[in-house]
Amino acid sequence: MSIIYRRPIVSFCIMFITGILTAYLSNSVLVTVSMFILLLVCLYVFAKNKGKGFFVPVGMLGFFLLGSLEFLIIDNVQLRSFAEYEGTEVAIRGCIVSEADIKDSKATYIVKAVGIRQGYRGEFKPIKGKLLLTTLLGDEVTILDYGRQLIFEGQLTQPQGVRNPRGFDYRRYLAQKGVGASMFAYPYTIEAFDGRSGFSLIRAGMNIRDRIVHVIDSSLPHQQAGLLNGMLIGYREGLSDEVQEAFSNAGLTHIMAVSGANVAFLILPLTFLFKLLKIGKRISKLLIIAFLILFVFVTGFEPSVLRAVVMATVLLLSEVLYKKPDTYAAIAFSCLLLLVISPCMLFNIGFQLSYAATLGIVMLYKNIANIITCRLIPGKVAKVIAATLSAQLGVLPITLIHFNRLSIISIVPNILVAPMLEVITILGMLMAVLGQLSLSLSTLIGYLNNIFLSAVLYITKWSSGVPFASITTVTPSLIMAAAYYVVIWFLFWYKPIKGISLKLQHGAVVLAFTAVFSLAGSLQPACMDVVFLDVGQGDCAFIRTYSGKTVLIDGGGSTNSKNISKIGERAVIPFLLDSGVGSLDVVIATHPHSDHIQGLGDVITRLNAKMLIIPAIEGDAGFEELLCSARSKNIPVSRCCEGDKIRLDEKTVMQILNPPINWPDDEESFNNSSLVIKLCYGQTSFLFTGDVEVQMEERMVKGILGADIAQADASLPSDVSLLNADVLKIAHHGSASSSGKAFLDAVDPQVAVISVGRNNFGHPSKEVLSSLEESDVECFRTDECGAVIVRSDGSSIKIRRTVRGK
Amino acid sequence: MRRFFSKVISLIYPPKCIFCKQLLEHDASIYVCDSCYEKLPFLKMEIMSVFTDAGNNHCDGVVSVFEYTGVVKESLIRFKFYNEPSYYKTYARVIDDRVSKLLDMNDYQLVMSVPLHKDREFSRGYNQAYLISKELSRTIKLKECSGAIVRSRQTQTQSLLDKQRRSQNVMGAFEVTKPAKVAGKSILLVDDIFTTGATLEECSRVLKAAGAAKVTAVVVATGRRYLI
Repeated sequence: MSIIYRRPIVSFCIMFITGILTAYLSNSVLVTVSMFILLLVCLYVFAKNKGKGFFVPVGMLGFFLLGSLEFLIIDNVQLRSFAEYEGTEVAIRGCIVSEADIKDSKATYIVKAVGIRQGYRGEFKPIKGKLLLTTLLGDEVTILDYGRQLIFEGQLTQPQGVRNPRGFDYRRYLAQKGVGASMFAYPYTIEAFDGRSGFSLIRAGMNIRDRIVHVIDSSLPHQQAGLLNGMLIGYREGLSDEVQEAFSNAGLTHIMAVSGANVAFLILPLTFLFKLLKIGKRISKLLIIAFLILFVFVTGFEPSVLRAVVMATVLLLSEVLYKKPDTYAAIAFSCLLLLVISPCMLFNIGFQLSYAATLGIVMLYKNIANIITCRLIPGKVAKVIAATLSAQLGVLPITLIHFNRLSIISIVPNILVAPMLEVITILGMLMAVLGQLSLSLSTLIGYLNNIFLSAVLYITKWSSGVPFASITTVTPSLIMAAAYYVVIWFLFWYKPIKGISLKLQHGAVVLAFTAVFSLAGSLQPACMDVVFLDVGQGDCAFIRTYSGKTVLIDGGGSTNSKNISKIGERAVIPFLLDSGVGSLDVVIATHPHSDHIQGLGDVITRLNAKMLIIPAIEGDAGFEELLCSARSKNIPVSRCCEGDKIRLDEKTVMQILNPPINWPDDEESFNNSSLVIKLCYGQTSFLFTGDVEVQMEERMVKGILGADIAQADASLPSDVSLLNADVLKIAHHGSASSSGKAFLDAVDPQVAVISVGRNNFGHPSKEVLSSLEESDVECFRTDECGAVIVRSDGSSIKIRRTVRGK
Repeated sequence: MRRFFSKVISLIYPPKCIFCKQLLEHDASIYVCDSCYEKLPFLKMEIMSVFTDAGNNHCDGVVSVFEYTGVVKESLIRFKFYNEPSYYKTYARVIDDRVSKLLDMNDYQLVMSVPLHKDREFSRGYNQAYLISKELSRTIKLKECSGAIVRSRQTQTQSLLDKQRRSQNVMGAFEVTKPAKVAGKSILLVDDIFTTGATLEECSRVLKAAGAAKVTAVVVATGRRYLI
């Protein structure tokens, strides 16, 4: 423990992060303060025993408090300044503080608001905060530049938080940039003024970047220029999605993130230049620092650049101040500085990757290099392997958590590409500088650089095309990630480093804790979870039985089959992977409408499925694409109809109640061809209805009353009628054409779930909502609750909503 | 304010032992770890004289803290040739301790360092003796006056030469540019290493010629024992 007195900045940094995490996880001042008091007592006792003064303990506590309070204030006050105007039509006065982000035919700006007005007349009230402005682009619309002052009108919306369990948090994503609201405004409501404000240094940085991009673009072919711009200044707009995907599969995305290497390539030639110019060491270091700060403005404040520049500045300043630099202190200082400026940055993927990679290299590089050099590998290759491997080992859990993708091949392209990066960057910098004088000069160097750039592109495409270049993985749990880091730590750092006594026993204790925690997790009482995902206007439900069998009923999608909604890629697959599901036992498509099956196509292509179930209708109408995907992945397809039973495990059975045998595949009756599935686990039951309509509901009610299909089943309590269920998924997103009174009475649910999003169909209808209310059925809507999670222990059910009620 | 600033600096640049590079506690006043401190080859407390063959001693005495051997030797080499200027503070501290015990500070008015030729200083980035003398002048509260003397001629590195050649090498290398500042003053002349004394002697000679009353040299380590 006396370690905290050596390099106290590391303790400060860790405490600051702990503070942010405490505030983030609890979101309460009370928990934070009690944690603070607990720490206070611990550290007081500790410091008193050691008798080494209170500077370090007080500092640690101070940073804990600062971290948590800063986060709480930003999260609860600053970002909520627009809350009272949510959903209303307002006019905003402010200035643009970002560059235009242009996608398709839309432009997005970040606007710093200074005034807000409700309605069309009246005074602007002062307001402080940033919001995201989206507008349409057209022939007569000019793109607005940084610093432009403007007034615009539209409906203010607050960004959505988490909609699905462990899903994407758009609100927090925007919060990282300090943005607390968003607005769509038509171009004609935007009034831009001539006056400009903003920092001239930011504008200068943007200008320099534009000039560099312009020079590179005009002296190289399109793809090569895109790659070089990415490598030089992290500008990736010029790269197509496929190329970026290829880089990600090959594990080479990092070469397009501006980081330590770029900063080093900037420092080396500058040092050389200043030496030639006979400028003294200290002054030249200060000049280089000034250049690096300008570089931050050019590259646009990416966390990886900020980290590299702060660390480089610490290193350079050490020579000015005649101090001995220390890598870990420099890392901790840069981390602390970045987080003090913006605590939300802790949740930025680039920030996490940058620090994990840096720590990986700093801690593991030497050991790995030593291990592999003694084999028959030449020293240079060994160094590249060691660097790649140590960085990859550092970031592995983070990439798995965020991207669910493991690039197996990455080491090969990295070794091939590594020697070229230096040459490309230095030639690229020459191009960027000389191109300002004459484009023909930069084109000339471009011919040479093109060779290397094309080689990198070729290697990337080749290695991403290799079968199993990258595999999709489920998200590791945080405990797994922590255990991984502990293991790595001990494998490579087990060597009593001076001043730190790292004993094997300590590691054993940590591992034992991890084992106990993961065991405790797996010893939870057996339950069945049913999750009705929020996929907007569409259906998607996921079931995990008590024995771990997994079922997906529908996968969401766009209501118009011609639009590709990507909901599968965006929401369903991430949810499944985050829940640790890489392979599904049963995938069910209730009926061939795109808002139910579009997402399923993505799911069965990316993940494994053991079986696909579709309703037994004549022909394949509407299912063509899905069946094609299933064939290409060799997934067996079953067609089910009334009377079929699917036994998932000993206690869990699905019974099919609709469609009747030999239902025609006529487009008018697609809804009525829906598979209606009753899921039973112990005493509890769920009814999934697809989009079935009144006509078929009545048929089922009659069928049940006539007791035609109600056959005795040992696993089902005999006194429960077949339609009766505890949880009913309301048919057809709550449309009035479904959920007739007779049907609702027959099902007699405790709880109803309506899977619905923004739509023009009037879903859910007032009739359905009021008849549910009359029958005293508690109703959960995915557009209000986010995903609805129902947990059954076999005798009772518990319901949880993802979005907290207002 | 200055103390706060230096606290922040020591957070970013945590102190490390200048002999074994081990990390020290943040408030260490002297950058030497306990185990190295025990092993340090402290010299017997005495004021040495230069004893040149010429017989005529311009330098009135030499105070050295260490013997030039073991960890001290390695550390001084790093300090001088491997870009580790950060060691100056600790060296100044141990010199301060030593001179305060051996000399009466009221007898002296100036602290100076043996100058480097400007080309050498440019390529090294710092003058190791000047860094020590600057820090020493701050702690013993005497005026620092290294600017009064320059090395006007580029000389060979002393450590590569034998005893006879060393005196020739530094002969006439120094020049007092501001004699008025040293005239009549008693001076502490700071250098890192004292071996034959040729450099110190030549430096003292020009200082005396410019009117200095007394010149006492203070150095970090001496290799004299091993030369005789």
